[in-house]
Amino acid sequence: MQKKILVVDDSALARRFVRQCAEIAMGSDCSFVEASNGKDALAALASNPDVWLVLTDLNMPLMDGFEFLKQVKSSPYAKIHVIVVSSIQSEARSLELKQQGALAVLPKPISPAKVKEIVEPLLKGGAV
Amino acid sequence: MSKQEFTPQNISEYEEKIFEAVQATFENLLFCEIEKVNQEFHLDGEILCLDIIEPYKGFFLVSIPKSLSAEIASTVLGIDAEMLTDSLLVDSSGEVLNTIAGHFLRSMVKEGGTFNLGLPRIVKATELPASHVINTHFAIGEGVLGLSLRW
Repeated sequence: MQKKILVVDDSALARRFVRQCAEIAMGSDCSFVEASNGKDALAALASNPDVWLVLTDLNMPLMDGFEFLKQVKSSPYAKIHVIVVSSIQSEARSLELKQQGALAVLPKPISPAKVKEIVEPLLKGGAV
Repeated sequence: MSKQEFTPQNISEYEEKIFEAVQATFENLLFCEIEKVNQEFHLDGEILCLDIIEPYKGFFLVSIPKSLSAEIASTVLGIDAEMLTDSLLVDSSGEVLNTIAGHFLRSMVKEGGTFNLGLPRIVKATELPASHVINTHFAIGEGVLGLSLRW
């Protein structure tokens, strides 16, 4: 079954890059929705309740990725998988975000291999 | 988050980490190698800036030739360079700067530490005084990227 992925980043270039990586990782078996900040991403989730995975940046105007993650994980969409993709990733920050419910935290620029490593167990129904 | 400071005594270390950050960024974005070159950093008119917020305080300035920005944008977006708008070119340059800065700061923070950057912004170059300046230039394809770390 085709998976719907929400890509959140204030940079159009970054959204496209992340989409391409996800598409390669998922074997093109996916559709995409995009948002340029956390606030628009929450609205996108409301309009697309079948989103399976979110790939989100952290540093964004209006609502950043930290607040967006917090709101998603305390919302009806709490079970959606969230991968954070950010230039401000560090080991300590990764731990902090995972404690808040992020599935994984990847530094920019990501690669299809890194995305595949995370999503493949989910697609096979296993735990990550 | 405990404060850390850039120090003039470590300029060589910063230059090496900047090189590694630029190299890693362009290897992933364009699958190309870079080469250090010597050139004067031009501060004319408006320039793209990224603030380093914590634990260090400072900022990066970047000068990317339009042709290089266009190459990155058209490669990633899959469209002809002629179809790129100025907004997309600025977006492309900003994302490159963001990625480089993140890589650099990640190599700088202490183990267990975090760091924060601002959002890329266009500024008038003359509005950014700094006590210390590190200018670096890299040949990438046909163009030269200029990156300046200042605090």
